[in-house]
Amino acid sequence: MSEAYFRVESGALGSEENFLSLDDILMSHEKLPVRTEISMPRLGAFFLDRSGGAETDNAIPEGTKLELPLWLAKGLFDNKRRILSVELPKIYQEGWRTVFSADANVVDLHKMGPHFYGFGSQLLHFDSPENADISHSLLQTFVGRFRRIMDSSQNAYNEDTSALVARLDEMERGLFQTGQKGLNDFQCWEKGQASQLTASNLVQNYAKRKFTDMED
Amino acid sequence: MKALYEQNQSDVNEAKSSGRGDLIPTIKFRHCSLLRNRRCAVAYLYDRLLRIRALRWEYGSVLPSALRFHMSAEEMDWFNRYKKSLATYMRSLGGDEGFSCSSCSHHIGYETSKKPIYRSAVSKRLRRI
Repeated sequence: MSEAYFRVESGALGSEENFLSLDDILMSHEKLPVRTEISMPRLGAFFLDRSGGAETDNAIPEGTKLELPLWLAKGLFDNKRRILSVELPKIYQEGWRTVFSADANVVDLHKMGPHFYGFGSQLLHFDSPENADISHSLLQTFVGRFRRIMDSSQNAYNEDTSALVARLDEMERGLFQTGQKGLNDFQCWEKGQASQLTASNLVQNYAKRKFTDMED
Repeated sequence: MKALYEQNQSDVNEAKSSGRGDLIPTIKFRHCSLLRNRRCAVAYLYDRLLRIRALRWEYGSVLPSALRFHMSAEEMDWFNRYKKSLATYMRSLGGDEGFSCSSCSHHIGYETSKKPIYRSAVSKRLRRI
């Protein structure tokens, strides 16, 4: 199945997400801190502890601080900041940026939001004055970590790699898997298995499962 | 989704008629939610489609009944049409008999129903190449 199934790739690192990419949908579900610039009537039902109550038409008052998912923040944001103004999450701010520039390899990027690079790249749409620094920091962090990812993915053959990928974010994990696939294919070719016809894994597993069904 | 849409519709009407411009952020909020729901549904269905296409390359022309059970009628229809297009394409490639290709040279699907014809036809063609 893996050979014939070509999933829609993430576009998050480029200028726009891919509409059909499942990775992008998961990424844009992450939350970011936001401040309302205008009161929003009748939405108080969603944010009960913040709403103005029944007298104000169940509104969310102006100046409320909320955590909204990226897709919602993007939809409601415009250049003049009429509805929302967006704050940067902590890991993209000055403090963490210096941590990354000190040593990028030490950080557990999976814990910091499993879509660090994708989310950070899409954050640039919100025209923060720190955009140049954020993009520079994203790039440098990746450059710092890349060497280790490449080395470990090319040298871990037939092992349990969970310790290696535990601290990588989703984009890095994709990279790691590509490296592993390349390694496995190469080993397969070296052994001469590349030109043999073998039953596909899916079909073999299906046949095994069917046998157990009959036994019950 | 219907509830969201109806709420929005009534708010739009109210905004237009009684000049309540402050409802616009609310309308935008609901509209974003509708777009998001649509995106998730479409992406899910598209992904299913990509996997069904991969099934044709893995299992061959006839799918096991357990798999067919999980597919909707439209998906079955799409699969049949994809199968036909693929077969037409393969036939058109070679001289008289056509050229049978499989997705990657080292994978071939077994036939799980008792039809030896398909398998031997494929292996005959492969031997001729």
